[in-house]
Amino acid sequence: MAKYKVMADAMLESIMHVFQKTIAEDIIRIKVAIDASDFEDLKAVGHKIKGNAGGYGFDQLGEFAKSLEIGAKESDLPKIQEAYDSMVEYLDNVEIEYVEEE
Amino acid sequence: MAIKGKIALIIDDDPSVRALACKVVEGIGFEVMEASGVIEALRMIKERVPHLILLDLNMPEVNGFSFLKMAQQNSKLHDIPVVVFSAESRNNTILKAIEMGAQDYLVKPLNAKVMIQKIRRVFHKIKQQPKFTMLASPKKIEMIVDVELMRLSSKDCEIDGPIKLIPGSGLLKVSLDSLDLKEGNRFLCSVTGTHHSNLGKGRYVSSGSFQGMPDKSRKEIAKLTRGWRVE
Repeated sequence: MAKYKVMADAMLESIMHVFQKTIAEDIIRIKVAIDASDFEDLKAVGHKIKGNAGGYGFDQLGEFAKSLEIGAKESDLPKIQEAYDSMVEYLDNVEIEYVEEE
Repeated sequence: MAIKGKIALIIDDDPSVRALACKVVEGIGFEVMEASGVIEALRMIKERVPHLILLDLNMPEVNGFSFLKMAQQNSKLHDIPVVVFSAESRNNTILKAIEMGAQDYLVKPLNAKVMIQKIRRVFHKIKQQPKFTMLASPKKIEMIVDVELMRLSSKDCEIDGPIKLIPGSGLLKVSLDSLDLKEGNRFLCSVTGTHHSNLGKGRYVSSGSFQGMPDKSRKEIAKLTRGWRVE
């Protein structure tokens, strides 16, 4: 059983793969930016995920991204690493359930 | 204004946001065009003018504010309603976008229901937009606002700024002749009240700013008043 569950609007089922592809690319981008201590890019990608994840029902991911963005603003690598680890762990253990919204 | 068959252009560098926005606007009847950036969007608009633009602010290369600035200065873009969306929720950013001509602002993450409501409201506003007649001369700017649609009367509106209602005419007269119209001066006017239109009774809010530039042409002055709106 998955550790995390996302309740997404059934309307999003046909486009969820776009989000999954984008987030997979973003995770790689974060790793590269951490290795390069590129705080500007970390801030940008954190901000982007913070804004997008919730739209697909991934509110918790959005919170981790917010933490990443804050860490990047403060040039705080341990905080950034923690946010990144949380994101990866979350994405590895999340299950999506589509629900019909009224 | 009916939405069905109208074209919406979504400008965002993130494909997942475009996909979500497309899904929502298609669901309410729009035909959708997508652009991953401002330059691509401008190219698309040259070929086909959309009826609505959904615009991200934070984009690489050319950002959303630059697009809004271009839209203010370009006759082809000027009349297309723009709804901005951004993860940026600070009031000064939202106000800046509205001041630069955005009709509304959505804070990301996008919520389908909120998005639909705001888009419908933008179209509702356009339908009820009062007509303006601008008269400008070197020492005087006068604007006649035809609010016949609103059936506005002095009884149900409060007026701030150099505006007066012409009794019984359904017209608001804005006269700035008593003011010093030096270049760069800025005047704020607002009207609030109740409107009774074919869509029912609702709150009427109209506010606008004038930049006192007497040598501007009538068309240019009209551009400055596009902040006037009905909610």
